[in-house]
Amino acid sequence: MLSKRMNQLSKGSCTFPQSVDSKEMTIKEFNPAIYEQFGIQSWEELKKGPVKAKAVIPYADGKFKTPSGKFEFYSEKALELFGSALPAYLEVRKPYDRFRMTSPHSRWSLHSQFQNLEWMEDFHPEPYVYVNPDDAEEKMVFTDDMVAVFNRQGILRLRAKVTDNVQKGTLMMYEQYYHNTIYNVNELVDDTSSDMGAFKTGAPGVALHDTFVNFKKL
Amino acid sequence: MQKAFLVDGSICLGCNTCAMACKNQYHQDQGVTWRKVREIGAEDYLIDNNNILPTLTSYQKAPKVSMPIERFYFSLACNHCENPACVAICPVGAHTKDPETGICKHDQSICIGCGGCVKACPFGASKFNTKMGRAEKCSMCWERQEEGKTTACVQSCPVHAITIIDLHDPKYKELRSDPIGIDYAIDAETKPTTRFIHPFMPKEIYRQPKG
Repeated sequence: MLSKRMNQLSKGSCTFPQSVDSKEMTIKEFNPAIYEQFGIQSWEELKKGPVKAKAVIPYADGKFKTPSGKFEFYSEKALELFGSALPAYLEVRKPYDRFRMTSPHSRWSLHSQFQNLEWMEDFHPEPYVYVNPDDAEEKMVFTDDMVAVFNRQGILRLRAKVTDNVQKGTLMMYEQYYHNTIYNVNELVDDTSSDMGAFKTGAPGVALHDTFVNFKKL
Repeated sequence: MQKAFLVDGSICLGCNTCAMACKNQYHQDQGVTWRKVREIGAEDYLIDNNNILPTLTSYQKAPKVSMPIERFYFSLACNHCENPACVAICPVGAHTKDPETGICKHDQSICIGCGGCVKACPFGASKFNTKMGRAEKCSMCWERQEEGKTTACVQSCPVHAITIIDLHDPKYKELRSDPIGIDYAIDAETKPTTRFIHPFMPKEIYRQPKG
């Protein structure tokens, strides 16, 4: 639907398939890599019963995914991509606020999926920001206090949890969507690109862990 | 024979799979969860909305501990007491204690929804279902156990942190009945049968910096 609307506004702006039935969509999901991982020739074999995926364990065969298969201190590939074959010191991003913010994946959902299930809500109903006890003491915040987490991009209001699981100088919030709340951690993220995103995923992603925030008790 | 849950706080990951398996098995309505994974050290007494000790009797609470929040957990449901308050208070006999297995069962078809068990249970194990107007609680999957299967929570646990034991077996005599760091009536006269293996903070090893 979104794709349809986008192409209505500007033709060809979205390449996502607009109207396919679910069977066609499923067949498209199967590519040679998937077939190899599951050890099948065609998706129709799945009609007979489930098959187990081969586990992908990095370094299980004793080889890294480098051109030589070894650990490369001197890398031709790095020279080609980043202009330096040997590791060199790069200036890190200057913090623009008090605390570094991390937004890892939560065990409660798969990105924004599954949080719309009502019965998942019973186990994890609301977002929390995790604060180190030292930082919490400085800001006079206790567990379950409402806090505002803010930076130059935006502001979030949520409850705090004081825990040693987070390092001093760092705040942690899960990158998930919650049912019936306006919480969205991406409101605090700016659009600085990560350095190796284009190499790893094909597009320069956002440098999520170079986000800096401050917080105070509400 | 007295069947009981043994929960191992030292290996529990807090993934809530047991609670979700329980909810899935019995299609519990929204807002009702028979099993709850409790965070050790996180619960400030009388704030914990999910298990406000509803009885008029005051019980001795488990000792508070200073442990990092969201690191250690106890997964708790009904404690299948040896001397259950729900069975004693139920006016219609919907709560029964199985003489053979020691499981405290609840039959919702008999329940009249008086809410007595919800108030009487020192652990808040009986939940009131506002949609049905009746109480409900964990019955240790006794139907599954009669078929030779194990309970939904035990089957689902990826690290085997919950097991079902027979308390009358002498080899389980040494197990602790007192948890730490959660809202729990440790000296309840109902004699809860759940046994606990306490978590412990890992040993910290630092590499000494040179000089």
